[in-house]
Amino acid sequence: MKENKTFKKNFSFRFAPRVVLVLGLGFVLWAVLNYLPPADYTYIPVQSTKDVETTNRPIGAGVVSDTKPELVAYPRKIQSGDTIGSIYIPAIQRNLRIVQGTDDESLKLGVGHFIGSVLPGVKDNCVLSGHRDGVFERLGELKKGDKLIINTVTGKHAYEVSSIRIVDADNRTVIVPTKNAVLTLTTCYPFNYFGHAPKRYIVSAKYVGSKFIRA
Amino acid sequence: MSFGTSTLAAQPPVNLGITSSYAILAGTTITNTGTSVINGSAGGDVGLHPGTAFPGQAGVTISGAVHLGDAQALAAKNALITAYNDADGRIPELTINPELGGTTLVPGVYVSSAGYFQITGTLTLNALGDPDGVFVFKTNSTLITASSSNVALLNEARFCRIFWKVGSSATLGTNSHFVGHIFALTSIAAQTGATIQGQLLARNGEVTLDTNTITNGLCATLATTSPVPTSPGNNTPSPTPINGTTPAPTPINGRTTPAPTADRTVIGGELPQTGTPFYGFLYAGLALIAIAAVMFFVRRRFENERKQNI
Repeated sequence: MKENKTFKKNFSFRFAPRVVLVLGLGFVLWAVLNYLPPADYTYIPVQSTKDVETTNRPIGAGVVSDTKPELVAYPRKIQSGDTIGSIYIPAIQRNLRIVQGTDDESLKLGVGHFIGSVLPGVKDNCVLSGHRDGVFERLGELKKGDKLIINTVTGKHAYEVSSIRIVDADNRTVIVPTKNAVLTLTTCYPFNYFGHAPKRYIVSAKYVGSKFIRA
Repeated sequence: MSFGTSTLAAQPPVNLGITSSYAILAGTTITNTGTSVINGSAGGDVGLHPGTAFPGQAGVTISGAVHLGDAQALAAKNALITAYNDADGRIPELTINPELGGTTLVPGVYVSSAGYFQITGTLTLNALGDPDGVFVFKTNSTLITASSSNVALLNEARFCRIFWKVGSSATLGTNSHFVGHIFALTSIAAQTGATIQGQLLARNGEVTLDTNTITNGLCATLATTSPVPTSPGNNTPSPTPINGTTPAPTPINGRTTPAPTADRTVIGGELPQTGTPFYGFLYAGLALIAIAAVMFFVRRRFENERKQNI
């Protein structure tokens, strides 16, 4: 009985640190393997970008649907996970893929377009979200006045950062309709928080203009 | 993520009926302290029914008529019941925090998550450029505004499109500025120096004034215009093909039904969860490695001591 107790004591004394070490290394390894560094991605429309119409009016002001039927429009239906374009952020020299949807699977592919918001370049509030430890890990480096260029099937749409704020995760005043074309980027905050982050980092950008592609 | 029920539903304004000309309506009494002013282009009438007592009336400058316990007051009170029930019957689009100070809200029907509303600081109402954007706030109990609190209007929001249904009583703090039509089931108290752009309508209890200014303005009728399309698809029967083909997206397994693109951004959408377990596992792993290091250190020290003892 005494020998059995001594054996258990020696075993735990000798092997417990190794078990804890292996467990710790496993956790770190898992984190590293599952970390998805954002790959650069440039959306190239089928048409030549030389054949464009420059305007400072967003879609929805009659540019595409009414007065300019010759311009390319978005598909009426888009599936979650489909690529809808790319966003170029000159301030951090990143070109990121935009996919439809902000569910877990879609966000693994790139920046997610919130389905309940309008598409880029459309008059109203277009909302894009991304992982704080992925595509938007450097979102905190943006400042007022920085340019954001979105490339889609309809053409290029330019925005300029107008405000940056931090709100609670349950804030319901960010994803709302707007009178003018606005781009809203969201990610979790703090950027290196342990567990579910309690805040959201919000970058708002005003519409500058578009270069539409002719059909 | 669902936006079928949370899209911006255009709300008609609450029908005020003949109460629209009344800046103040009450049930038992109207009491004034100090010097108050009741005016406005919509009407500065004052009504009380079934009560008849209006102590402090001499200190109130009233631009309209005063009806104390008469048939006109009774008719206005009946119209108030209709307006109250109209506001109460609006289906809430969002349940929000009871503290409205420091928030910006867009047109919609809001209900308090705690049964009451309070305003500490400034509540901003943003009509998003639509002067007919209607705001309806519903509480089961009280509405209390703090001293020097404010209701600010943004992007063509109008006081005459803001309605407060209060399940019991409302208190407007000292030197506060309040905007909108209050329908209170019981009473309304405007504390010293509070200014109100709208109406104070109490169904059963009293309205108390203390050196206040109440302005019940007219709501101008706007010309009707056709809505501006907000998406290329609104008037487009089918997707525009590119070189004869629609863009070929990359499908994800298990999700084969494309969803229509939004013609308009939803109101009050839930911010997506954009964190991964990366930092959780990284920190936990580093913590376990640190614990293991301490355990190794303790073991080595213990073994050295044992060797020395031997």
